[in-house]
Amino acid sequence: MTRRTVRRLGRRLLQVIGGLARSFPTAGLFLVDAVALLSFPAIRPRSRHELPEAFANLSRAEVRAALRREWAYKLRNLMMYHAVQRFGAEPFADLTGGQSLDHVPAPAIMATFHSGPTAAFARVLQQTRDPVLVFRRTLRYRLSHHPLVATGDTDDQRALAMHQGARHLQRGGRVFMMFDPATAARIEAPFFGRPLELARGPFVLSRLSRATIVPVITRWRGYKIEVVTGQPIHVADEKVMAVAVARWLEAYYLENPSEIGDRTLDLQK
Amino acid sequence: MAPEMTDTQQTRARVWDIVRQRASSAGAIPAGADSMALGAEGLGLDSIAIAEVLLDLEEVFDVEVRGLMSGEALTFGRLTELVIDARTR
Repeated sequence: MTRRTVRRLGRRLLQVIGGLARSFPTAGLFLVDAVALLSFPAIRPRSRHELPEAFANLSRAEVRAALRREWAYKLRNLMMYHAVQRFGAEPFADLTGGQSLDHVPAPAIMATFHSGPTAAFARVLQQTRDPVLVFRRTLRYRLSHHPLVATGDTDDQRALAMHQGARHLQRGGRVFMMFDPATAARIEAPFFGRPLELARGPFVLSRLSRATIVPVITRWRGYKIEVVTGQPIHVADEKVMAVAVARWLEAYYLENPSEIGDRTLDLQK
Repeated sequence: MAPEMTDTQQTRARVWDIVRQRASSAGAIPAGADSMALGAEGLGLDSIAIAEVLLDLEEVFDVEVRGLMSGEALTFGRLTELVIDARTR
């Protein structure tokens, strides 16, 4: 069987489990964990040499445990992603303590990374009372009471989105966007000793509107999802803010090595 | 004596000045500027510079630039039209 066929079958399996998880979330997550456990010996996990040097103090067993958890989380996140793509369903896992983003004072740029169950931000935003302008590439499904702005593929489309975002912030609103979208003007910041390419968008918006940047991430806690909110980063030079965000992410991964995602490492030069 | 500029011509010249500040390569308004894209295929502005141009225009003319459609080509001519529309609203 070719690698491509295995990937296709794997995707199909995650979709089927995702369908089940819409009605029985815990059963779905339990099944994904079982798939992760059985498939882990067959995958080639990232070797400890591919991890940033900062993790060198972890023992071989700790690295293996972290990589095993990372694989399980990756499959859970993929299942959630495929379920949302296929069924348009809201992410099904519950949040610990019914968290929202209402505690973040406006004006603010709430931005996240492709790390952890990013799709769960739909649930987080649904629980957030005050309207948030959501950059649409971030979340692809319906949000009942939050305005959406399409980021698009061209410079013109992205400019219009930025313009709308800046106006919304200048009026005292809050926006939600990604630090690491697939396409964007980039700014570099050191991350585990190498440059990390972040999108310039959040930093430009902060400069234009004087709004603070608040990094947010979702992560698994058992079968539930937790929102982690970073300290607000106040307006400064774009580069200074980017360095502060990368430093925050670095500290977060040092505390939670199994959360480190391929996407973030891919953005390292 | 040079003929006086009309309101529209003055607006057009000020819009061009604002665009020119963000696009270092642009000089005086060239022939055919109206159909010139602000982005990579025309004046070479990136998405952030275009957004800054829109905000600069709003500040300088004290207007709200509305009516830009997602997917619509953003040219110098269209930008000028939008500012003139906003000023007469």
